[in-house]
Amino acid sequence: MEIGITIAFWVLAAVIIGAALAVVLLRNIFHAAIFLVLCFFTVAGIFIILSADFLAGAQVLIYVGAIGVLIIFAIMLTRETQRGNPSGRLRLPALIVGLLFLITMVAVVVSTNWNVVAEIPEPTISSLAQALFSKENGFVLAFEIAAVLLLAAIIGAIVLVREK
Amino acid sequence: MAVGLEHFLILSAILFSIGLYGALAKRNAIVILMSVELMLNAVNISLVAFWRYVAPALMTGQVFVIFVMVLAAAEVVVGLAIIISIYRSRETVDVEQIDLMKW
Amino acid sequence: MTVLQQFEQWLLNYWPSWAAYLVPALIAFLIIVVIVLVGALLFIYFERRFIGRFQIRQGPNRAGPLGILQPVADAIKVLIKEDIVPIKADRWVHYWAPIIAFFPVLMIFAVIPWGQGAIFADLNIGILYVIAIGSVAAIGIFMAGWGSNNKFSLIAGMRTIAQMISYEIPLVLSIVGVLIIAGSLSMVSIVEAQHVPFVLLQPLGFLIFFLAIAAELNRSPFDLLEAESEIVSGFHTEYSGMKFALFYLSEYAHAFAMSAVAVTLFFGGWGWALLPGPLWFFIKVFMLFAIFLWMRSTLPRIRVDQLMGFAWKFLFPLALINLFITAAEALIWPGFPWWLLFLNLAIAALLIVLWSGLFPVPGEGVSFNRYGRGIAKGMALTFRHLFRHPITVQYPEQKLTPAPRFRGYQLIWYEDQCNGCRACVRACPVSIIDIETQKGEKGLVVEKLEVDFGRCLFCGLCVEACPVQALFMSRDYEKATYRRESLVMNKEQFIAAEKRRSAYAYPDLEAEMPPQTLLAPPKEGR
Repeated sequence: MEIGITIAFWVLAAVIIGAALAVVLLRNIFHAAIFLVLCFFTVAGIFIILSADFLAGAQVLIYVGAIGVLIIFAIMLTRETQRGNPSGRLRLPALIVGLLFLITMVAVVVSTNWNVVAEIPEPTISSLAQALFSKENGFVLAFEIAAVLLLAAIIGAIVLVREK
Repeated sequence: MAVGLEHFLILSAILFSIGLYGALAKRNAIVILMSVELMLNAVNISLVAFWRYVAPALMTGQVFVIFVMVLAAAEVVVGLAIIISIYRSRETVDVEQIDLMKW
Repeated sequence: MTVLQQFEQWLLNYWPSWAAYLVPALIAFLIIVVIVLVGALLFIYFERRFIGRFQIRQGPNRAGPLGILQPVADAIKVLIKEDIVPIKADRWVHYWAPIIAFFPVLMIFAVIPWGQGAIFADLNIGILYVIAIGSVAAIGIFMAGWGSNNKFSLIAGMRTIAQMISYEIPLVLSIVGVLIIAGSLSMVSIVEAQHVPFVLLQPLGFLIFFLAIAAELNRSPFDLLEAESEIVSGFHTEYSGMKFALFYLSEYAHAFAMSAVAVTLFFGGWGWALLPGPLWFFIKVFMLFAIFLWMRSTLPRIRVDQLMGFAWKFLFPLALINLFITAAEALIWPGFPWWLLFLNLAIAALLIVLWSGLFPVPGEGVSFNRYGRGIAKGMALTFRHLFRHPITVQYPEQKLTPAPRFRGYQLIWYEDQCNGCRACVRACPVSIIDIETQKGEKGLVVEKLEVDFGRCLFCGLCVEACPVQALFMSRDYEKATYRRESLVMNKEQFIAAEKRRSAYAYPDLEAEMPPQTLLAPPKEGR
């Protein structure tokens, strides 16, 4: 099965990088949004390769189903088709910063000696639920605060956008 | 060659730098938001790769990813609300023209 | 260990590992695609026949015996149609929209359990996969609305997306209610955990799920945004040919998929003995789909603001409270005994009565007569229609007789009665009669008689004006011709015509006319 995972990884990596470049470089914003949705989908594929099945489902549900639709709605509502997707004044500095960052990260990753564990995790959903909700070292407080945060975001967005 | 931790981390770094370029160099505010989403996805990939290869028994990596997704959703909602309300009063989403607070 | 996995294990003895995993997957994929397509065709057939029976008529019955080949005829028609792309539309988006709208629906079928161990992939996250993939179809619909370069399609596309994401929330919450009882996300474990079908333990949850998927599938009464008579057919206005076929197919395949998910979650999947598992599964799926058809043929469409109000003000709070109560029951009675049904039904009735206070009818307050008893009476009426003999006439094999005083096509002229007085020529308001006479032995003899029936009003004034009863209206109505010139009748044709008179302006002829069956007035007291 190793060869399957290898082929899947290289194909998905190529699609992710191609889609990300399309998002940033395409002139037509709507096409850029569609490529962003493709990118989200393939990141879910990467999660499946890494045996994080619940996260893959959550990624598709949250990113593609909600954030993708939201971004496309926003593009509909703020249409500036004359200008499209131009580059700003900081194009060259941004390129230099991006490349520097990339080179630094790749150098760090390649030269560090990671303690890689070879065991494959067991089915993750029940362990994930226990990690989130158990009493001793669970993340219950963060979970509840995240819920309040989402409520605040929803109310804030409604207040910002409603007609006076 | 088998796929190891370094492959996922380098993929995450490439995705992050593409998002970084987009967030710094683009003029349309929605494209900047899309690039920020790319950066958050890159971070998610590297978190899950670390969980899988370094500490699979401890579920903290996946919990962190869930919270990052929640925060990304909240941020997109509020960001797009701000962009839409700016569009309503200025008729533009070009960040080089929304500079009323600068001297 | 599903059947597919057993097949793979057996193949591993003979073939290298990559082939032993790839070939069974391909075979199973082909089987599922065949099931989906045949199922969607069968659903299209059943929809048209059943809705006909709910409306006291037969459905299509001309293509093949009992109309079985009607969906095939539809498919052939749609395949040979020209594929039109609007001029300024975005070609790429217009092309990919139906594909992105169809493939998530096909992917849902990967986790549907057809029988014991008969599932393509028993994922640990089965139902989360279904919900997640189901929400991707929204992107395809939006692309369709945008890529058509048509303002109405765009507005309809945006409203359809708003409808779909509003109804996803009660859908997911009602599913979570089931998951609390089942304890696992995998579809096979949910079916195996149903010691009683979950519809009995979660009546409110099933009601919310049913209404939410009716809205997700854009089925009546929630189909305001894509029905053919509304907003010019919505987001698929500008699609023709194979692309429209994909939208049409994806609609019915989605109905099949969500009915299958509902059967898995609430009705026990393949359970119960006495018949093989997959057969029970299909029977349950068809019965659930028949309830959708029943709803479609009875209820009128609701408006867009009523639609959104229904999702957010009614279904969403009820789904939350249902979740809360299920969680409370999971703490107090962890085994979920069957008599919880009565408690849940009582709570459901109380909640529905309380929440309908939010939708008062202006002038009446909360109207149980209109929404409760009214809907029940309507659905009972259409249910009774199922058992009545359909009133369809198999034209042209069966012809009905028109009314006795029917003003049909073509006049009837008796040459021996006619005295050439030309009263009919003067009476005709469009001057279509042309008569030339000559002096004969006993008065005038008609030499030339020409009537231009292309401009005839069938008013009957010529018949009333004739003093010698030489003109009658006829009972015929099937006189179409291929050329406009053949609509003009001359004297020889009048003499040679078959004289089937109607009793217009001749009351004594009424008694000998056959009784009327075409558009007959209804009998009193039916």
